[in-house]
Amino acid sequence: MRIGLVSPYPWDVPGGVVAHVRDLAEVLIARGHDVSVMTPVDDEDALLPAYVTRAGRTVPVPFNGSVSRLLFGPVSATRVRSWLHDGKFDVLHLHSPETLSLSLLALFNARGPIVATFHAANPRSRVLAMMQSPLQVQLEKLSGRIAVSPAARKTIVEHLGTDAVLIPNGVHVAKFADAQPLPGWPGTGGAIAFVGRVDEPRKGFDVLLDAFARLRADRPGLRLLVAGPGDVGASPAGVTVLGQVSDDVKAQVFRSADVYVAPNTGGESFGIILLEAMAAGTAIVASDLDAFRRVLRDGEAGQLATVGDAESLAHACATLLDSPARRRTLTAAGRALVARYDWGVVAGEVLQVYETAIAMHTGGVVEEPEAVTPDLT
Amino acid sequence: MDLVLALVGVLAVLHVAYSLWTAKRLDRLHTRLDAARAALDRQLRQRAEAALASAGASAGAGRSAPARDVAAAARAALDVRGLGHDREVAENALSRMLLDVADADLSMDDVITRTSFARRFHNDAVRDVLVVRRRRIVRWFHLAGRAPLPTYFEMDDSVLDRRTIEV
Repeated sequence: MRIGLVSPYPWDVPGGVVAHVRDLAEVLIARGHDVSVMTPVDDEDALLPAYVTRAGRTVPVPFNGSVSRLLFGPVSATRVRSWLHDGKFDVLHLHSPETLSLSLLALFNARGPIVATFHAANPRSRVLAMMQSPLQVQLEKLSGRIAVSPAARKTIVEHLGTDAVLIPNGVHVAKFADAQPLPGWPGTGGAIAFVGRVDEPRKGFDVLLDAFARLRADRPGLRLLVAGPGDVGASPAGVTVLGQVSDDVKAQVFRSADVYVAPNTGGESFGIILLEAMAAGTAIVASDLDAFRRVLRDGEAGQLATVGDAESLAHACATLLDSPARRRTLTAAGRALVARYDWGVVAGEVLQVYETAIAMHTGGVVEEPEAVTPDLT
Repeated sequence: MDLVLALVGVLAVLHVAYSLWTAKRLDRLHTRLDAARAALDRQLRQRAEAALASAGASAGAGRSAPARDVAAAARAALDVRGLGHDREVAENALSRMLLDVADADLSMDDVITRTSFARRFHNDAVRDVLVVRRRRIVRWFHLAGRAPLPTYFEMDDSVLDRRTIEV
């Protein structure tokens, strides 16, 4: 199958949607499909995989209190049209077309079997509210819509008055399961891992530090491994800070601990980090947030602790640190559960969406007869 | 007086332009809906045929009672034309029968998932048409022509969809 993917965000700026597009493209290529990705690229010297086509640079536009990076202009439109023309795609798959971005530009300029994945779970999106009517006309061209989570689906049901099939983000299960622990970890004194921004309050790192101090009072050999951007300041005894790490090292971090802790205090809609910990076979302690409770099947696949409560978090960690049998029960449940999120399964479902969309058309993707070049740049 | 006439003229032109644009939009939406209906019809047919094949294979020489029921429900579903209420009843009956065999025959998974996608995309197309057709301008000026109001295809496929993920 000839598949065209469009990413709204710059390829060289790390982010969830970009990682999703990259993983999906590589899994589909490995299955023998002909895949081309059209994406903005900010750094002109960036090295790109052969399947990537450059659409140009994004333009920072201050909006709604933050800076959105947009790409929308005559030059990009011309590039999109020639990419569509040369690609002769059987199906076009846009990501987050509700943003003012390359994905929307591609939607303006294409017709045929087009599907889209909605990633954002933002119940109060002003962009969506403002753009509703003009967007709706464009989104009517989509043959199929995918939402990556119930929250993302709820967002488009409420703001765009349309529905979507649910296909979650994928996890490379084998990559996490086969990673080697970092040298010297987890050791015999017990090890806890944390992955995420340390200076973002909603990630709950402060709660974890408090809980760690309580745990260490009874367990002098206990260590905490921290991976993620942000400044910790002076790290307390027993805490090892790695800073921001690559995806490969992140997989190793999970494998380096007896217990993975997700002390988040809010703002999580999916909990893919928990799926990665499950894939690595690490026992999980997580805050009792709705999203986490769902992923962990009400505690079947991980220990839940009261949100923002260091005492409760310490107690949950202690339960797992002191019982290898309990850890084995949880990790076995986690492994069984994460199998259905493996990229192999997820990509298979995305392909079924493609085939369903293709069955609704007599030909492949073509350019709209007239170029649409909304000139915002 | 001239001013009033000019104003009426401008409004009339705007109205005609908007009506033409809406009629074109509706035309596109109906084209998509027709394609979605045809795709759903084909997909339901494939599901019934797969069920028939599965029932035949699992039954072997001595046909078991559940296999006979599945085969009967599949044949009944194949006999109904169109996507009306009687089709919904027949397909729902087949779904209930499939509950018993789907766990035993994993080869049905693929066709079941495709059917659920085809139904969702069909109902999305219905919703998009209805949103525009409920507008006053469309109803008053008959911009939709004689096309009947589309209806959703209601079918409980959640019972069969092992793919459904709660996260």
